[in-house]
Order: sequence, then structure tokens, then C-alpha cells
Amino acid sequence: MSIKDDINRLRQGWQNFWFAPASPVPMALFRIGLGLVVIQCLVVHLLADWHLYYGDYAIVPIEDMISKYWRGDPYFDLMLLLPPGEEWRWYFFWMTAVFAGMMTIGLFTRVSAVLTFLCLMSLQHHFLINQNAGDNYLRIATMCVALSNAGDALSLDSLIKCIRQDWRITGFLAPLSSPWAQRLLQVQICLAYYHTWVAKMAGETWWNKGTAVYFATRYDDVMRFPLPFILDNYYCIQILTWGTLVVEFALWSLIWFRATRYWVLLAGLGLHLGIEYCMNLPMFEWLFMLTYFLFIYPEDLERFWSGVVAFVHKHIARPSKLMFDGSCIVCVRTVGLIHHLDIFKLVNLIDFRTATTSELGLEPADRDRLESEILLATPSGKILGGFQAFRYMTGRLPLLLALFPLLYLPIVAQLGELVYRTFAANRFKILGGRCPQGVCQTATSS
Amino acid sequence: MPDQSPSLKPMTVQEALEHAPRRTPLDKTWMAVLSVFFAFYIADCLIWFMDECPFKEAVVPYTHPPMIAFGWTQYWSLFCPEVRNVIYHETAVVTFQDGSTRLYEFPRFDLMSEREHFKREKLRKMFLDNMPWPGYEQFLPVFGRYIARANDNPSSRPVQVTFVHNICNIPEPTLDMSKWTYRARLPHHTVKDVKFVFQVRKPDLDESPSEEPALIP
Repeated sequence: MSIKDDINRLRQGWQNFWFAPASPVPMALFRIGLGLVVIQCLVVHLLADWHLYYGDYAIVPIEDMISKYWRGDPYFDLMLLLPPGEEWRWYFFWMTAVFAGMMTIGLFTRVSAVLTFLCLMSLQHHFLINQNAGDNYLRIATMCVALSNAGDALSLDSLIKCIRQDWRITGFLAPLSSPWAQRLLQVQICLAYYHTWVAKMAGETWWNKGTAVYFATRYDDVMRFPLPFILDNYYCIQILTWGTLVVEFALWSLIWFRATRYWVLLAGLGLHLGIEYCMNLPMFEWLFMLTYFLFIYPEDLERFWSGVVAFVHKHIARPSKLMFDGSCIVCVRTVGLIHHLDIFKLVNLIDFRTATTSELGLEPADRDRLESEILLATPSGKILGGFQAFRYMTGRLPLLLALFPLLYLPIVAQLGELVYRTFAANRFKILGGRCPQGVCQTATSS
Repeated sequence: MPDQSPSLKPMTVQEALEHAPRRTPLDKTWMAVLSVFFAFYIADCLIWFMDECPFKEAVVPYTHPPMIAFGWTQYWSLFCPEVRNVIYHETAVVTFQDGSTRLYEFPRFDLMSEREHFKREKLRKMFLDNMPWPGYEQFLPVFGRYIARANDNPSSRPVQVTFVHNICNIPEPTLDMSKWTYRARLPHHTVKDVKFVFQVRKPDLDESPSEEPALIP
């Protein structure tokens, strides 16, 4: 092995780590959690004393913040561009909450995440002396989400996209892409654990005496629930203190190895849940625990979800069969949308144009109905068509569950039936795209 | 945009269920630019975490500004290198022209309900974690001015605000459980330590309109 080979191998490893295509699902899960924490930060923690921080009579006016803290450093603050008057800062604050909400649900994800990051950074820099480590992490994590493809999965953006595209060409799964922003956040959390571990190792109460947890759990300004009796003695305190050092060491080192990763994450969860139980330090612990999603291998995430789906199918609800016209692009897109909403896989899709008679399991009369409407075979064998099939599905798709009772209202039900029948009967006239060979012109051009 | 499959042959439902398109891979220039960025980011953070030393002093003026500008500033040395061994709360004594005084007590998180404490965490950070400690002393006159204004009384105006740190040591842990300090039986913050005395000047009060909100809503 020459040095050149080693360098090549190193370069290849670096490129694989940052750029090898990966599923966006872990980052999408993190995006949802992060968005909720940003909203919590704004609506719970900042709103409670908003006037004290951002009002016209703020305890530290921005002029003092600039002269006493910024001191010529290049702090980014969009709020400086606002016209005078606290009402503008009030609008800015609520716009940030709206952007954070959009980022959470994945609507215009990239733009909303960038705007959330810029607004959050402005709010934090405008009033810096109430910020804790959780705020720092919140800002950095939002930056990474803004740089990522977190909107490619579990988002409204992906639903909108699936309405526009033909899954027979693109497939159902979220597009794979370079996960470099996810990797950056993984590296970031390891940097945080590294820093805190190195700093703790220099402390006598951490390393030599092992009593740091005793003092930390006695801060009456952050105290939450009582320490379990069994842990409240000298030896247990020492075990907890040294255990913290071991876990924090593992969280920046052993976490990178597949064999140890999940054990390390489990220990990290224990550490953060323990702190969360004992100490009232909002946001910080949850942000770190949420980041653990990024360390779960996508295939394991998929396996876990398959287990959940199997459990749901066995104990809660059995799947139905949805039969659709595969030569109709409207039907294809509609069932694509239904599939994306169907998180528990309660609707199996069957293209009646290519399916065998036994796969369909329909009476001849029902088979004829397929030319004019989608049909749903419920687990009990009942055949529902058109609007009724849609209504049945809303009761099985968690994301549409809110619609379910509304669709049973007398006028809504009749109107829905009418709209469905009119649209289904004229779908080719309205949207075109019939193509008996299997792929519609509309589909390929999309 | 996601790459489409190389062939336009339509997939069956089963094939589509297992197929993920790929976004167009980054080109080499982008990869190189991003690699430089990652290396800089990691180095920037590691330098920032270093203990004070001549190397850090020489480099930080160049590495810290981007960190501030792009929002990467971070501190993870929570509870370290040493955990503090004291518990405390803050008060301020406002002295008026006529010699009378008024005690202002900053929010007491040790006395708050769990819910209120959760909601007002940022007040705790400001008044307990930052205000009394080194690195934030430049804000004490600003806080003093705010308290003076909030307590302004035209008949006898505030002349001085004295910040008092009410503190006590957490007893050392012992092997003897009869001397063990449980969380529910912590000592009171009985030691008074004057942190800062703010002399109120007339301009400090002049800008104060009567409808100014009280310090704690």
C-alpha cells in the first residue's frame, strides 16, 4: 500500500461520508421535531416576557446590546431594518412563528427553513443575554435543516410533488440525495459532546471526587422532580457522575461505529431523560435527543416502521384493496397521493388493467364499475366505490382523519358523491391522458 | 430535481413501492467547495473550544467573526470544568431621595411552580445565570436604570440601586447519611453579598414615561 493509495482511500471515505446518496427520512423526522421546539421557544418561552426583551421599554435596549455585547462584531439582525415601534417587532416575531410552522409541516420547506433560521438568529442577536446552550443548538440545527433536503419526505412539499408526478416513473420512495447537511449536524453534536467531555475531565468534582452530580442536582433554581431515594447517596452519585463522563465520551467517539451506535444512543437517551427529569432546562435535552434520529440507519428506521405497520395490521386494522385505472393519469396521481398519506399501509394498491381476475376478486358487475370509478374492497369483503371509498379511507388515513366525520354530514355526502361521479365520468375530457399501452402522454411529459 | 429512472418503462405498483429516485449528484466543484467549508467549520469550532493560549489568541480574530456572522457561536462547557457549589437568588435595594428603601426581588425560581418555571426559563437565564456573574457586569448599569425607572416616584425619586447576591454554599456530600443534604432540605440563601451599586442620575429617569411596564409582567 502506497501513501497515494492511503490518500485515495481517505478521500473516498470523506466523499462517501458527506456525499453518498441517502434517504432524507431521518432529516425529515428531525425537521418536524426541531420545528416544534422552535415554536415552543417562541410561543412559550419568549412570548411569556416578550415586552421585557423586545418591547419599546425592553430591559436592555438594542443600543445597549450593540455597545455592551456586540462591540463591533458582525452580529446578524434583520430587526435592525424594521421601522421604529414595537408593533413591527411583534409582527416579525409572529412571522418567525409562521415560518417555523411552515418548516414543521414541510411547506416550501427550503425557503421556510432559511427564513426561520434568519429570523431566529435575528431574534436571538437582538436580545442575547437570555440565551442558553439550547438556543445555540436551535440556531445551528435550523441552519443545517435549511441546507438539507429535509423537505423531500414527510412534508406537504412531497405531497404536492406526488400530485404532480407519476409514481410509475419516479417510484414511491423519497428521492435519495447527498446528506451533507445531516452529516454536518451529526458532526456538530459530536463536537458539543467532545467539548463538554474535555471541559469536565479538567474538573475535580467530575473526575477525582465524582461528586458533580450531587451539586448539579441541588441547584434550587433549576430543580424539577425529586431524585429517586435509591440514587440519593454518595456511591450512586459517584456512579452517576462517572457514568456521565463515560456516556459523553461514547457520544462523540463510539457513536460512529455500527456495532456500538445504538447502545451509545440508548445510553445518551438515559442521560438526557435523567437530566430532563431532575432539572428544568427546557429545549436543550429534547434537541439533543431529537438529533439522535440522524444517527439511525434508514434501513433500520424502515424495519422499525414495518414492525409498527405489521402490529397495526394484526391488532388494529386490516388493509383494504384499492383498485384503480392504471391508464388514467388522474387515478394514478390520486392513488399516489393516497399512498403517501397512508402511513400505516392500510390501502393496498391494485391496477385493475394489469391485475388478474383472482387478484381483483370482483364480481363481473363490479369489474365493470372500475371503468367509471375507483373501487375499494374492505377487509370484510364489502365493495365501496367512488366517494364512499374515499370516505372509508379518510377513516383509515391518520392525516385525513379530521375529514372523516364531516364526510358523513348529509349534504356533504350527497355533494361529494355528485362531484366525484361528474369528475370521474369526464376525467379524460378534463385532463386527457388516456393511454392503453400503460404510460399516458401526460404521465411521461410530467 | 430528482433523477428519473433511466428507462421510461412504467413500474408496477410493487416495483414503485421499492424504488427511490436519486437527485442529481453534486459535481466535483461543489463537493470541493463544501469540503473546504466542512473542514473550516470543524476547525473553527475546535479552535473556539481550546483553552486560552497564544495560538488561540492569534487565530481567533480571524476565525470568530464568521462564527458570529453565520450563527455558529456555541458554548458546551455546561456544569464544567467545576460545577458551582452555591445556590442563590438576586435582590436589589432601591434607595429614594427621602432615604426610604424598597426591596425588589428578582424572580425566585426556587419558589415558582413547575409550569411557571418552565415558561419563564429565559428570565432565569438572564437574571440568575448571567446577570450576577463575570462577563455580564457591563449590563448591571442597564438593569439598574430599568429598576430605577420601574420604581420611579415623582415625590421621592430613586437615587441608588444596590444589587445583592443572596447566596449559600451547598454542604459537601458525606458518606454519613445522617449528615447527607437531601434536595428537599437545602439551606436558605442567607449570606448577602453586594455585587454592584448603581447611582441613579437624572437622565436615567427622564426618559421614563409613566406608562412604562413593571419589571415583571
